[in-house]
Amino acid sequence: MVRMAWRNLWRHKARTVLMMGIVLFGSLIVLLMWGITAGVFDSMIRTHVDLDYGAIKVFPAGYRDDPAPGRGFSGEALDEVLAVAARIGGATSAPRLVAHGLLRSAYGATGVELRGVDPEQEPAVTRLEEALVDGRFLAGAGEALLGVRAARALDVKVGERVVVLVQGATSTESRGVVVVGLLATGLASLDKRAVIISLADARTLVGVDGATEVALALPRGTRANPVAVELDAALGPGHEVLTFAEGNPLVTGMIEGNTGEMVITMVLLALLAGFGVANTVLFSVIERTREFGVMTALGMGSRRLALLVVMESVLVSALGFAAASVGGYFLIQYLARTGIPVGHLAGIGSELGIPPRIYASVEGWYWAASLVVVLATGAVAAWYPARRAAKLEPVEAIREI
Amino acid sequence: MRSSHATILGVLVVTLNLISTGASAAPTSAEEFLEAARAAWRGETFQATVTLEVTRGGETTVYGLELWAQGETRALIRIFLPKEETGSGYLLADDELWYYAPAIGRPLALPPIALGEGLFGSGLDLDDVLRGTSADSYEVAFAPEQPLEGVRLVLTPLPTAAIVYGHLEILLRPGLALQEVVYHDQRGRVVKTARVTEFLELPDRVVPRTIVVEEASGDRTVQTFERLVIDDPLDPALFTLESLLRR
Repeated sequence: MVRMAWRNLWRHKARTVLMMGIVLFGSLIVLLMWGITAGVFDSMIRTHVDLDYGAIKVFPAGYRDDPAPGRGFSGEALDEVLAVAARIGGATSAPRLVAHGLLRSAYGATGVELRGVDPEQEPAVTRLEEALVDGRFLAGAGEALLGVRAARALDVKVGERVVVLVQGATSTESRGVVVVGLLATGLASLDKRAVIISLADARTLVGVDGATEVALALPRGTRANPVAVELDAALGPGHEVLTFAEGNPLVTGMIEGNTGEMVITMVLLALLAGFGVANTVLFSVIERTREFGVMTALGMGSRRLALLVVMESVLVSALGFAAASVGGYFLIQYLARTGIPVGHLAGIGSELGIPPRIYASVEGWYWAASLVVVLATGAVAAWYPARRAAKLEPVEAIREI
Repeated sequence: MRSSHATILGVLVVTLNLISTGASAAPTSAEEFLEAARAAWRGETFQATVTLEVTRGGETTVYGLELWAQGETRALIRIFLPKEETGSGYLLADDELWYYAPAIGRPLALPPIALGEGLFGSGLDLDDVLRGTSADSYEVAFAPEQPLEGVRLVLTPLPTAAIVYGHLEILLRPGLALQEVVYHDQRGRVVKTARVTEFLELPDRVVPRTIVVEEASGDRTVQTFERLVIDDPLDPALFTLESLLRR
């Protein structure tokens, strides 16, 4: 049956190529959309995890409800968390002290997140050093890293002093820090609204001796959820252990929402291609009425005839999808290497951590899902023409011109 | 566009620093000149009616304020101009800063950090000179070129000082009254100039009547003291929330 369907297909090359083309372009669009969308989300999560959040964060219980520096880890509690984190195989950790305040230059002021980091431990968790576009990483007290967008807004260059103002334990505290490096992470939270200083300076300004969070990095490919569960159990009550996905419901919600949209888009495109295939198969059946009549007269059952029509449609869909897969694979590989600049949308994208250049991503599961949808569409699209072929009366069909 | 909050808080900060105590001993070094100038602008109490003409992006707004201050930590501002701001005001009581507007109907606590924001929001950034110009924050030296009358000082912030400027040039007129401050950024460009264009000669001291701040961006602020009463005792009840809410 398959061989007969295959032979039939190539008896009318133009028609077969036309059907393949419909499936090919529909599939190619779906595969490219999936590849680019998956690439956006991959890039977004990787940017957040590598440059900002880390894979996992540990907070004191209740801190996130009222994130005041005074509600962070005490020095003693911080040491305990760091000790437990050090026992997690492959994980590296770093303490951070986060407060909110003002950053001031001669040309203005802006509200910022003040992030105190340990200059020696932080590079073990985030790759901020790689995001430096000017200057160097923090070496000690009296220094600051600033995002390029904040630096531009405040007209500040490397080597110049800025003033940080925060609400201390009893009054507003301020000090001058020299900008030693400028960061371009692609994240607005860092490039526009953060100043990174040494943990020692942050502690002095805010008037605490601990930290507000501990960030952990995991070896690439390690799933964060099981490690977070292990860490949570090891730390016991009084802590909140959150993976990136748990700590950023907005981003994960957006990814889930977009995946839903992609499925709908895929189904709609499949329907579109399905109508095209159905149309071509139907005309093929009408055109081959006499042929089917002869086949029926020679003893071919109506069910087998219908199956033949469906088989032809599925085969042509598979061929179209195979061609789309080959083309799509190379195209996505190319886009994964060169990326696509997002142009004017970069500003909006940076608010969510979408980098200014998107790199497509190849993932097996959406390839498999697309194949199933395409083959199913091919089969369903052939249902009406197949039914028509199955109902043909041999004598009348043979008489038809 | 900078907010009216910032502008008015700027006046508050400046005023807290303009309170005068009278003359001091004749200084000789640059540090002593600076210290004497700072001391000459300090006092215990201050009452004033102030007109503030703020030009931002080519648009000018005139504010009218009644102001009472005691020391550096207590102050009350009532706004009577423009019309839509009438009845609103600010209260600084030690570490607490409050804002009240009739439309809101209740006082709002502002973070004390907002007082700092006022400094740069208003353009009236004399706080850097008058509150923060101690030798702890700057290296003070005589300018290479001195005016025919008065003294010109150059203040260079120490590396960790909470000062955003590269250096300041301060012109003191004879008698040590502050005449002009030129703010330079860390690349030597002029950021803004604050100039006292009119003085009020009181029996025991000289105080600025009109201060004009001109920024490199073209924005401008003119602060004029229409009425001044210095060192008259003030009722402590003035610096309470009840007083802020009173119309």
